[in-house]
Amino acid sequence: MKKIFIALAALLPLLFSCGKPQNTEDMLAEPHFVQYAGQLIPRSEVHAGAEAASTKAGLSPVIVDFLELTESGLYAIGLNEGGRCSYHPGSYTVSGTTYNLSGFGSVSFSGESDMVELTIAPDGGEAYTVKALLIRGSGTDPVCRGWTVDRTRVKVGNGAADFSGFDLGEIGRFLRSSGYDIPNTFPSGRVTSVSLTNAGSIIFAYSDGSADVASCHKSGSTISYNWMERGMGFSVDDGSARLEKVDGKYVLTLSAVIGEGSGSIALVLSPMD
Amino acid sequence: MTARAQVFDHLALGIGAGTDGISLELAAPLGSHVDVRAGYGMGVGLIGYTVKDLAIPEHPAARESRDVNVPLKINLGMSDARLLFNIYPSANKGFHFTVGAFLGSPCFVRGTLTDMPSDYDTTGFEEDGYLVRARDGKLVTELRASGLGGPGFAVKPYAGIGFGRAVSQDGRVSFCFDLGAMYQGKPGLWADGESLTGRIEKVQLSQDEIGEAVEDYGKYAAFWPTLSFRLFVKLF
Repeated sequence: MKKIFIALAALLPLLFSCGKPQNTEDMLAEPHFVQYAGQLIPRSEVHAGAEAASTKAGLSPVIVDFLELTESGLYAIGLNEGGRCSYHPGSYTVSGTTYNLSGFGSVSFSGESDMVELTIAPDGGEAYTVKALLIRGSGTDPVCRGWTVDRTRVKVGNGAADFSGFDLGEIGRFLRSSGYDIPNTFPSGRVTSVSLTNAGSIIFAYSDGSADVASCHKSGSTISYNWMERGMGFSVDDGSARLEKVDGKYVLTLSAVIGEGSGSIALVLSPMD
Repeated sequence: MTARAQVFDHLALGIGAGTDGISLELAAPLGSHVDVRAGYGMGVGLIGYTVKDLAIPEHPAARESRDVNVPLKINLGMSDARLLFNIYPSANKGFHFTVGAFLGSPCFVRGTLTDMPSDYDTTGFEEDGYLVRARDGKLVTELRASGLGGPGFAVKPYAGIGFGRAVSQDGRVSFCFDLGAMYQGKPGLWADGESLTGRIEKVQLSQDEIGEAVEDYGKYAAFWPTLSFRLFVKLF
């Protein structure tokens, strides 16, 4: 009889297990440039300072309207170009009180008070000094850092699609092939990084050297934001986004207006440092 | 004169075929009136039928899109173990009642859409955070029902009648015929879905996505008819 039980046991069913995903959640390390991060808003006399410096040197003025230094060593600089602010991203290093901004030049300032003396030295241009408002982030939220985008999910109408990384050109082609009327102003760049900052910005840096910047306020998992210029080809309106953890990954979901309909763009993020 | 069967004093190996798939079973007597049968059966890919012209939108994300026709191939999809008891009213006749259960995968029918428009490789629809889409132009769906079990493991009670003894009393080979039904409950249509982070899980498609067909016709599959033939060889 023992033989029979052994034989029967051998035929017992293979149970189908519904494995739960492993929790890959790790605590986020402190970003490497957290002590240097901040936002600088030059006062209006920057125009006069820049023009005076450039006139003296016989160069076109480089007028900085905005500078954000992020917690992960990235920056976004807003240059006044004919009355419109154009944003450009890059990375920075710090040497004493001087911040070397790759692709732009350097800036330096000292002091922690709200108003600082900011010296702007663009590559190939004349340095000038202006007063600027310095905003240091009061919080130490570890999600305020630079992120890369692993994949993107776009939901529109009844459909949804996944893309590797975050390429607005690819998304635009997908939307057009799906019959949506996407304007020519829809951007075509690949997003190289997304930065959230304690000073209150979201920065989307594109591979073509441009950036979109929004001021934001984070409350729990909800982030309300307003584009400083019209961001993302007005496909993503001002509004709110959600930052949540899914399967141990951070996911930033933006509401979007696509054609005449609404949808969302969800970004799966990985920390840059 | 037939020897009176003892508990587990014989063992027979059987192979079978039917609407429960192809099966392999071991059977042993529990006295003269009961045989216990345990085994495994699968019907994945068997008994195929193709619906040639199923209309689907060419662009799944578009609000308005012309329909294109694609083939839908339907096969059996069950894969489960079974533990069954043949109860013989007569100690030496073959007529029997059978009760027991099928245990294993909730899938019992598999439907594969092929030659889907290329849009379906990138675009699908989201169900509970999972993106359901085709892969290489192919979308595999499953009709799944769990009976008394849960979403990942089915327990489907079975009752039926049959002829023939699983463990022959006076020979080495026996032939059995069974007719019955297993209770599997109302089925749902499922497919592989991909989470935002790339994790693949089976997800049930909602009525919004598939219309009312499964709702309307699924109730008829709550009891799965089982007709099977089985050949047993007594090992000792």
